[in-house]
Amino acid sequence: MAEKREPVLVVLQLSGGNDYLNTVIPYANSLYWENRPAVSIPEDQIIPIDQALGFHPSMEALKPFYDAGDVAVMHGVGYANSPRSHFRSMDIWHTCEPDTVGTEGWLGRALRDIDPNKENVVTGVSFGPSMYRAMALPGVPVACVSGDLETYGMLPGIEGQRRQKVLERFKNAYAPAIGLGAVMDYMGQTGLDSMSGADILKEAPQRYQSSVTYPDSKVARKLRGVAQVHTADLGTRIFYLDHGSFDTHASQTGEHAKLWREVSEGVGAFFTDLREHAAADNVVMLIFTEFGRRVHDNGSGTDHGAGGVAFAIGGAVQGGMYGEYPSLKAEALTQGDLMPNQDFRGVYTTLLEDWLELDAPSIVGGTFESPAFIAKA
Amino acid sequence: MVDNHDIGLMAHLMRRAGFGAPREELERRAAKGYEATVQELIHPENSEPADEYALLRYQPAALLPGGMPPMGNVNWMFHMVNTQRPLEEKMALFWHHVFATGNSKVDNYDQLLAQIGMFRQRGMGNYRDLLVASAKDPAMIYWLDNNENHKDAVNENWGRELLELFSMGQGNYTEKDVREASRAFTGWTFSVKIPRLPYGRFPWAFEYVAEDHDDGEKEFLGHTGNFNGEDIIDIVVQQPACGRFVARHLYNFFVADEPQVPSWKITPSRDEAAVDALATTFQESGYDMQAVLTTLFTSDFFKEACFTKVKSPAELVVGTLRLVGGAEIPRPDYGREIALQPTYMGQDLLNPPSVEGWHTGKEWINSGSLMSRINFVADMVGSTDLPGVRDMIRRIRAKGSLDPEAFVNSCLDLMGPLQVGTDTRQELLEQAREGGRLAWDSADETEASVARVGEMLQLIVAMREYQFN
Amino acid sequence: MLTTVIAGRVYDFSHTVGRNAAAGDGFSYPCAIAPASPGMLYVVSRGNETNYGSRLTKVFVGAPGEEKVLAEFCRYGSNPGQALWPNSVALDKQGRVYVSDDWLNRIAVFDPDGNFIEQWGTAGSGPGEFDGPAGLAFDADDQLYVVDSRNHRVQVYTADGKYVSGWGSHGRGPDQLDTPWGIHIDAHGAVYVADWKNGRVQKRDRNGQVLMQFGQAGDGPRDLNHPTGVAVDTDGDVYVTDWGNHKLRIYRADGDLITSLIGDAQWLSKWGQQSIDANPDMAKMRRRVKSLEPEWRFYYPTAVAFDAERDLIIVADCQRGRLQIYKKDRNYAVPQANL
Repeated sequence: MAEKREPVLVVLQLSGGNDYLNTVIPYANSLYWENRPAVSIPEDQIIPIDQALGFHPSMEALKPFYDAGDVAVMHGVGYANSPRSHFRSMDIWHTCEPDTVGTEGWLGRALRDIDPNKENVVTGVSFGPSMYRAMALPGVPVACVSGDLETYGMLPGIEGQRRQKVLERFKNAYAPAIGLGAVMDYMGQTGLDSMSGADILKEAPQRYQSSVTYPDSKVARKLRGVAQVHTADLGTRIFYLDHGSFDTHASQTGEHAKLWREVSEGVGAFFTDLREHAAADNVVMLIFTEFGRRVHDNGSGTDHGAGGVAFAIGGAVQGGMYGEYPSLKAEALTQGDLMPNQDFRGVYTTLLEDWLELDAPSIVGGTFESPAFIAKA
Repeated sequence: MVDNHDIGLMAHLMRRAGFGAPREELERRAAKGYEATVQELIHPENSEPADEYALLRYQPAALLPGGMPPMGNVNWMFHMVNTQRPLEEKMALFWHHVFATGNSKVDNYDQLLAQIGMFRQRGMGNYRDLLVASAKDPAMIYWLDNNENHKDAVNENWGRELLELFSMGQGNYTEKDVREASRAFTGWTFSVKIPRLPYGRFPWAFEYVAEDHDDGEKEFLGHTGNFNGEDIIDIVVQQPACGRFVARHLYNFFVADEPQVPSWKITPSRDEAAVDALATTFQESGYDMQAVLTTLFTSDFFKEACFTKVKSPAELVVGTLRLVGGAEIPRPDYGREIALQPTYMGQDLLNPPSVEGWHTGKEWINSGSLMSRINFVADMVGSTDLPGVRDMIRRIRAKGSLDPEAFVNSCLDLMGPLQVGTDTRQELLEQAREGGRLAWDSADETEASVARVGEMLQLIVAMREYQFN
Repeated sequence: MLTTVIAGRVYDFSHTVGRNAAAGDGFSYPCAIAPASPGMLYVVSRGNETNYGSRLTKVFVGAPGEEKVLAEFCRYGSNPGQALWPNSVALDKQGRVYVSDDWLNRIAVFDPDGNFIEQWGTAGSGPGEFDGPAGLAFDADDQLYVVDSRNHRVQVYTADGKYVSGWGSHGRGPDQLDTPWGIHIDAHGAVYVADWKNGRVQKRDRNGQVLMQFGQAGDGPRDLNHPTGVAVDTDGDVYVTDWGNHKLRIYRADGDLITSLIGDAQWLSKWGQQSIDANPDMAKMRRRVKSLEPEWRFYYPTAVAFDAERDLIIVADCQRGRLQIYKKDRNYAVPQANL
């Protein structure tokens, strides 16, 4: 029997506030149609899940995964007193601090617990121009790939053979030396770490081969980067990426459909790719957004809301529905928004305890009811 | 006659009291003299501010950016890059580090920019007035919940941070003082503003609600009376701890990296005498920041502190842009390509991680941020068509054919003058030797030399020494 | 006041169209308007880099509440048919739509429905080259006048982009320009240019000879602060958006200031009301505001157009994402003053 491989978590953040009502659509509820005179999905296009709910037509590529029992749908996820601000809300998701302004990311804490001695500089890898606060914890190294994996590294503007020489000089100049002082020493070590992280990650695309063609979208390129690093077996345990903007105040119908097509097809290609490499079983993906959107549309889009929907995808996931769809009745709404009825920290708890096998309360700041969407081995 | 020592000292002053300056400006200022330049810097009213109308013509969304980046960042970056009042802008950045107020909660770059504008206007004025203006600043009120500070339900957030983070530091007051100060600020709030839908943002205005103010007697730092907010600030600024607190912040920002604020209670400054000198001027001048800054910039401890501080991301990015030029008019994608660069390096301007501000000094550096810093600056100085880079090449070319050592020295001189260690110099020399003498006699030689200067500049900014201010 | 009665003229506030929107029913920093028959407007949204809402909107504007987006085109981008910094719009005799791109230094041409036809223009400072093409206007001979803003001049082209002539130089002198913006050509072929940085509007003949100027820079109550747009009505009255002062200035043909309008949007636009209806918290906060008056006012009005068929004065209220519409009322019976 093959050695049990370490569990890997991929977090895909849908930035801007994804419209829950048009993602998992309560099409049998007349209140949906009443509240969405302009921004609804025609009933004949909805992909039915059951008698009450259906997926957005752009999620076609994910439907087979759902049917195979690999997708958990988490209803009404959020927290009390949603601030409806992108930043504040995203910060709360990132830090698990709904009352104060927190600085430590939940995944930063997870990385610290996974690799307390910082033995691997690529235990955490994020794809984006800067570190996501979710991954941030002072002293915890995270490799931030800002562009393509292929060009990731120091001084990418210098090309060809000259680059190798310049990088040699960089390494020599950063090498430990006597009498430079603590800050110079620290900077020297950091520069060398940073280069070796880049060197390690740059190997990944070279080792990678696949018959899977990813669609042409930003999120698909990032997911392909995740697949490249993951299949290279570099010991990366947490990946982070985002896609957006889901902030569809205007002309939502076309934009939201495009975004979900990109996400669904990208994620579909990603898992197909991992399966081809026999590297899918130890990967679980979390897809979340900072908040759902207003129940009633504004004539062409929807404004900031509260309760949203999250997904977990992977072979280890126990597919199905978790939690209740919040009521659309006027008296059940909070300022016109769906009332969250499932705490996001419970979703994190499941991922931390049942998947990454870490101590969740110290990471999410307490004990929360956790949906059992990870299949017990 | 301006000599190299004068240029070096002027470069130091401009890096610290501003965002650096191109060689031509350094020469002009050095010819005027150091003291005269200090006076010019602390009297910004005689120089031109950045042209707001130009900003709004080309980036109309920079006026009311709302809650999402990057237009708020564009607005401030435009000011930092274009102002002819560098110290005014640097002081705005300084106070932003101290009175750290963030979009993560305020969700309103408009009000944060208004706060920065207030710092611009008052940052070199009287500290007491600055504290009062901060207490009335709507973004600050919302950030520290003073709009929730009511006569019958006191919220201590602003009252506590006023004492702990904005004036004295822990250990100089009791919990009772926090409570009493907070009571004095009840009723200090803002009026309801027109909400942002459907026509965009409208400003918040400070409002004093007398009916919600606790009129009872308060005991604060040994004084007793029916104090209102301004009385509390009057008492606070008289405390010796307040002068020392402001002095230590100034020392940390302008002179040398200190440990973070929470440890100040137990860790003395690396230069207690310097902090004392600044604190003394603070008290004797009646909290006049112009006087304190004059003491600071004319002191030996300042002049001797060359290249001892790690550049903040804002200093690194703005300093580079002012050196290489070409970013005076915002261009498309100025937000993501330019204005958000400090964010990518760990300093999300207008959105500090908490009310304690950023962790500075060596904590700016981690494996991700160091790579972003090096790659951004290298990208800029390697763009040999940018006006500031062209000017550096022109100056090197004017020296004629250069041997490798002179080539390296000329580049280091124009990039600072920058001082580097032996090992670094060795690597730069290796790089220079590889191409032999730098020559400009033919078109081919010139083309090759321009490329070599560009590469040398890139290697220089990749060295550790360039990360220091 | 909703109705201004002065100097034998009546300006009656009609209604507001639009709301801040990156797409669809609204505008994002509207900065230019071209009326088209019947009842149609082309509106340039300058947009921003948060949501890239720049575009041209073809919108039908009827009576209050009767507005409808008919087409959206020329979105953000540098491909043919896109623009990075769309600045102005003008229509030729066939109704083709010309759009200037302040950054890409080109003019794009679309058919009346927004289908891309062609583009022309190159960067530079020589004759026929652009540095920041801004205001656009056609004369009676279908020649296109282009404000070449950072070259501080106006250039004249045929409708298919052939350079004809140009005039203007950089400076403060009476016949010079500093970063001009909007332009208008009246029924007699006279050219009006908003001389933005010099704080005035120049009136010139078709050859560029200065005839007179409207307004002057300064801090006085009648002075202009960075004027951006200009239009002339069928009576020869001249409208100027006094951008930095947030006013619409109205001058007699002889240059005498008749009055200044400051914006009167006392009722929400149709699309604005939809936003409020969908957001109960916004509706609640509006009821708690001491005064909604700031919402009525212009904020950096950038362009003005006169719809001659309906006597409408249409102002692009840039920072508010809307148009404010006044009617020049010619049948107004003045009530008794002692009511």
